[in-house]
Formats: sequence, structure tokens, C-alpha cells
Amino acid sequence: MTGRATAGTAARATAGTAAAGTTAGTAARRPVVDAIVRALAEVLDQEDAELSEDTRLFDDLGLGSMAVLELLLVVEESTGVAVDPEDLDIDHLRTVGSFADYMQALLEGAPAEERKEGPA
Amino acid sequence: MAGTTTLERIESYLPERSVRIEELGEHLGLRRAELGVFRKFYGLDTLRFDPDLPLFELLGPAARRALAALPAGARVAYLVYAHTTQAVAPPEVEVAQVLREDLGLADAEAFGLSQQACVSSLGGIDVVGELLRAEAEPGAYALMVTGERAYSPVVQHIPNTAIMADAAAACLVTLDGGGDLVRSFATRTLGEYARWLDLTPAQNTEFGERYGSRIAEVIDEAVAAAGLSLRDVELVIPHNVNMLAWRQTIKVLDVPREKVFLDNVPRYSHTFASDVFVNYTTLRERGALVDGGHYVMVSVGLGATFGAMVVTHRGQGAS
Repeated sequence: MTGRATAGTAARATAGTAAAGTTAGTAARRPVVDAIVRALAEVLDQEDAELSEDTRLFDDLGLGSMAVLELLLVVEESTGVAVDPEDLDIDHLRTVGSFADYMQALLEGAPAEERKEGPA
Repeated sequence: MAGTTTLERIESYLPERSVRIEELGEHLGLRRAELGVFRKFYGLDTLRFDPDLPLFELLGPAARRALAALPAGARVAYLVYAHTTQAVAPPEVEVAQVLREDLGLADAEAFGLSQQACVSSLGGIDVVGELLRAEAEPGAYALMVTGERAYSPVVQHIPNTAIMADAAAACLVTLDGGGDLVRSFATRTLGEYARWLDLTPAQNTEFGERYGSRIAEVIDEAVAAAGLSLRDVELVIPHNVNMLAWRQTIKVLDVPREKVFLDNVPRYSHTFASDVFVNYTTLRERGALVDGGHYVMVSVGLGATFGAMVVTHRGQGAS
């Protein structure tokens, strides 16, 4: 995306580490957590950030609303899920875990929508 | 002297040159991802921006159109120039005084107000209303003029918040006239944010988190002071800072989204202290202002001041 981006490089906190932060991690959810962790590494421009599902984006990482929404754009791109800004509640993005829950819920809704539109 | 402040004529002016926010990316040093957030989540699209337009050519048209509603023989006792940025012209240029000469208002006492930043225009109406009540001869008028240019990237980009745009507005004010009645004006100034753009990250986060509830409080206060409830209000006429702020506020207010007029956020973006008047004139041109309807004009200024003014529209006056 930009010169400072580190997309594709792994943050030290892998999806497995992040998912261990809460009991909410499931196999289906793990790729979402992974995408958030990778996006965080990109936005923070840090490959070695220590992250868990309990990591608070605003309070622990000091991100502002602009940075958190940049993060959301990156995660949208990597997961293929588009968030409707009218429905977005910023409270969903407070922690890595709540962010993952939010994206997972959207992902689970997405296939049904795609099926309605017929074959690709 | 008693008397109710009335708004006899509200006018606004927008430079013709319109740009998409992406065209300002390099000028403002905004990365593609930041522009993406401004577009998708903040709801910005185009804005008016004309670096070649001198300040007084920006201010003149709306002021002259508002003054056209001045009855023959009536006197303008006060001219207030309300602005957000303290330095809008070189130090040797007294904007209010130059404006007074340009508009032929030699008898008017002319002064500037910027203490409430983007709320200064609503504050200016409140101030001239008080001056008219306190010391002016019966039948005197006042003119509030607002408008400034986004003349530097430092002024134009408020990090995490807004991309500022050019516009101007003017409001002809008197007491007990036939125009829109000013029913109430509520403000809350929170001095802990006085450092404007130099707040700590923690202060910025806290300010953002409490933004919606603080606007809602000042709206509720103004509506209650007008003897009304929010259900009695036709529309909130807001600032155009961004959609994110208003989605949060609408949630706190617990009103339908349609209760807040947001059509101009993507069209004009945030025009300093002019937003509410630009939005008012858009609504009037669409025939969307109801005679006898109550409206809340709302703005927030860096520093930080939250302000809300309740007006009752009267077709024969400000329209």
C-alpha cells in the first residue's frame, strides 16, 4: 500500500499467539485474527509487536480513530469483507478480539449473500 | 431593553472551484490509506477550494446579499466578523474594519470574534443580540459575517478529524423582526482542550470518545431552554466535520438519521464557522424549511466549545 507498509511480513505475535489470549479462538476464526495481526504490524510499522486478543487498540497501542480505521481498510482488503460505514460501531474495534468477532460475524454472513447473486 | 433576537436574512457563498479530496492528498501530505478513511468512513468526497480567491472576495457576496434585506433607512450598528483561525490575514489587515469599509457600513462598530473557534459564528449572533438589547437604538441591525480560506495545509488538515474547505456566510440580525426567532443558545467550553492540535494522544482519544455525548448534552440543553423537546425539532442543522462524528452523536441522541441534515458533508466538507449557515441556505433553496418549524444549529470548535442554537423558522423573514 505505501512505502512504510510491511504487508506479508509476520508480526512476532502470530495468529496462534493472539488466539491464545482468549478462549474465543476457533479454527474458522483464526485467519481473521491473523489478518488483523498482520494489518496491525503494517499500520504500526512494527514487525515485533506483542499482541493478544486482549490488546486494546486505542488504550494499549495508542491508536487514534484514523489509524484504527486504516487498519479496518487493510483487513477489509485482505479478507474480502466490506464494512458498511453506516453500520460500523467503533466499539467493535476496541480490542483485537472484539475486532475479530465483528469481522467473523460479517464473514459468516457473506457467503449467503454471494450465493444469492449466483455463480461467479 | 428587552426583545428577541431575530435572523432577518441568512446567506452563504461557496467558491465555484470544487475538488475531490484525493486531489489534495499531495498538498496535505495525506497517504492513500488516510484518504481512503476520509472517504469511506468520514464520508468526505468533494469540497470547495480556491487558493486564488482573495479573502474579501470570498466574504463579500454573502454579506451583500444579507444586507440587501436591510429596510430603507435602517442602521447597522454592529458588524462582527466571526472566524476560527486567529490569523486569517496579514497582521496589518484588520478584517472587520476592511469589511466595514467594503460594505459601506461606516456607522457600524466592527470587531472580530474567534474565541469559540467554529462556534464563533453562532456566538457572534448571540453577542450582537445582547449588544442590540443592551445599548442600540430601537430598530438597529447587526451583521454577522463568517468565512475564511483553508490557506495552508496546517489550517486545512485537522489530523484524524477533518479536511477544511472554503466558504462564507452572513446573517442580518435585529430584535423582534419578522425573521427566524432565536429561541435559545447553549454552549459548553472545555478549557482542558485549549491546546487545539497539540493534545496528548490520551486527550485525543478521550475527546473522540466523549464527542457525541457532549454534543448531545448541549443540544438537549438548548432544546430544553427553548421550552421544547427533541421531538418538536424538525431538523438538526449540523457542522460538516465528518460523518463519523455524527453517526456517534445520532446514536447518543437516539434519533433517526434523517433528523440530522448531512447531505453537505460529502459535498462541501467542513467550512470553519460557516457550516450551519451553508446548510441552512441549502435547506431553504430546497424548500425544506417549514414555516414555524424548530431547528437546532450545532457546531463544535477546537479549544473546545460545543454550541447549539434553537431557531424557529418564519417564512417571511430569513427565507
